[in-house]
Amino acid sequence: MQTFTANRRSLIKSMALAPLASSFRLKAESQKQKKPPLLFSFCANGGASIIDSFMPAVSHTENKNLRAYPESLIDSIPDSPIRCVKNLNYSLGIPVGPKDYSMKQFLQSHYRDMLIMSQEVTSVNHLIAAKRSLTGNGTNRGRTLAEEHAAQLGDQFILPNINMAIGGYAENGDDDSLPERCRSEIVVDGSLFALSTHGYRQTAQEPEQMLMQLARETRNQLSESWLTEALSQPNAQLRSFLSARKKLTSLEKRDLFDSLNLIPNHTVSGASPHPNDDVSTILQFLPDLFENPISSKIALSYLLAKNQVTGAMTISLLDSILFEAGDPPERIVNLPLGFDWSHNNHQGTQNTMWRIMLQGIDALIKLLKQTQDGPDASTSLWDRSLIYVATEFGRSKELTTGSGHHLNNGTLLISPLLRGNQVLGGLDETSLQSRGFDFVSGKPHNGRPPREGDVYSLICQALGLDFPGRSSIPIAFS
Amino acid sequence: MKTKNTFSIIVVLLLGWVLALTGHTSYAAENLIWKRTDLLKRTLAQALDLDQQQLCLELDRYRCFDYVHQYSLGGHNAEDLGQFQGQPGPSITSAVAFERVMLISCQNRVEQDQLIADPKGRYFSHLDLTAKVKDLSEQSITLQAQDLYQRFFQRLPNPQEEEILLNMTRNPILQELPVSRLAQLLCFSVGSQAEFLFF
Repeated sequence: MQTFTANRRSLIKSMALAPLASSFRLKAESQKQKKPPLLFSFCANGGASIIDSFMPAVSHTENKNLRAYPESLIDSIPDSPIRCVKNLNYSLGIPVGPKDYSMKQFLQSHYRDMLIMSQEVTSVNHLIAAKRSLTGNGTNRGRTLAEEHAAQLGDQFILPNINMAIGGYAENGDDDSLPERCRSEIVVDGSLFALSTHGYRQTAQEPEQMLMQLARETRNQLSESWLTEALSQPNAQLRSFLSARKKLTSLEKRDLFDSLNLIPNHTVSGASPHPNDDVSTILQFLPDLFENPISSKIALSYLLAKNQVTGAMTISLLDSILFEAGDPPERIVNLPLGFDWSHNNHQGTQNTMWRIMLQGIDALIKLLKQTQDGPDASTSLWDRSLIYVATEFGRSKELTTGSGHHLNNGTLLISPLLRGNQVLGGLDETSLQSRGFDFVSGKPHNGRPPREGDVYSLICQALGLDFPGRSSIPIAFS
Repeated sequence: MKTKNTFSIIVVLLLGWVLALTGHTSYAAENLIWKRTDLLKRTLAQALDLDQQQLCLELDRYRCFDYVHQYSLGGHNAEDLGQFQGQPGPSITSAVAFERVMLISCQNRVEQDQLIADPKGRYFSHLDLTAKVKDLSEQSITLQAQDLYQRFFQRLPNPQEEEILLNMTRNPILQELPVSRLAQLLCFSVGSQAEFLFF
């Protein structure tokens, strides 16, 4: 048996280090007590081009064949270097109405928290590029941002990682060592998700709790001998199921049905109605909550954050976009491929899609801002939130009706955790390529712009998530 | 050679017959596969003798297997939602979804039975759904349990399993309830076992 014998030197050493160790412990504890940051990844399916939103170029003789805009079509606001494109006709030439949401409205409301950064990605394949936008092209063992968030902060949430996206944005990361609880739960319909939080609430002739308890205990007794035999062999799926079934009870104890309920007119025969008090507030900001699936996803992500159910939420647009256009507004289902409809009609699609998406993000920010972060808090939920507008790639720069995929692009991040009101890198006005910049001084240069991994690192840095090999962009914070 | 093959086939058939008679479950545990959405829907519809379309609706409106719980139960929808593969294994919402679809489908079966006038034509043919639980005989419960096991697992329950189900029905909290509620709970207790979700 090995015994520990302290000599004089080790005793002096440990006495000297004791205050340091306790200060580390205090720091770790205070980190734990601090409310965790919230990550909202808003996925712009199909390739949202930064030169058609917040990094537009002014057209002149040298870029007349490229996708630059006349000065008259570019908007700006006082006190901000960020510019944006004015409202243009929708895809298919449908005219914009005077009350339609504009990029300028977004800029006016949120410029202080907006960071626009040039970026160059590594793939122009939709699925691959979408996944890379969330894994930083595998920079952190292949983990998605939400997975890393869940791995480091997930013990404070019952469902740490909720993914309401589609395609490559809904894929798991590639780190096999990631704990099961950090994997995303996929949500298809935000308005119905409350149904996935309880095993029997709002079922027809909803049984009383004690009856369900009896039925489940009986089931567990019946299963015993079969499970003993089945578990004598390795079987990952069965084990996952049984572990999930154990967690079910704690999920039900949280009784999240009412607080996440976004179901319109939701009662069933024999079940009592449970209206969600938050719905009336949400409707002020998302009046099409019950008609537009994107609005219900935004609303759900707000409720998940507000009720401290989830810390990392991923939302994407759908492949069929519902929007209202014209005066009086008319509901249109169009843009079957989201931003990728740009292949057919670049300018109208980019303008429409950016505005639709920004309107949704605007609503989310306003909801977060008006929600006090705890009963006695002087801060709001927004004060610890970060919105990352993820997209696959940019679009080709040549001035043609439709556009192709292009590696060169930029990123939009919105958060009070960053130094906002900045455009990092900017554009080469002649080629319309976004430029690189010095990560410390912010000075633009002609080198390569940041890659997916740099954006991933920046987001992690803002959220206080460290990982081996994380790069740093100090200018985004000072 | 031909005689040897015939002999082997006879041995296998005899063994299968003996196993079926004894109610023995035969499976290779390490090869158990999660019964994903479509297969679960088909086998549950078969076990409950219900049409797949009327098997389960959330809130009387939304299709459980084809929409609300499709992904959680292991399925995916590539065409509309760009989901090109299902999740690798069950997650917490899979456990929730399995409970819900089983409970809703069992209740649905009970309600369908209540519309059938001839007791012999009912699924729960050994139970008087209009009676109270306290008035049921243990024999009728045992027969119903055997019927449920045959339908869900193609085997008879062993005596221990029969006793567990009988014990449940003896619980005081059930005695004043209608048998229709017991039928739902029996169905749920049997059908929601992991044995039905894995094959």
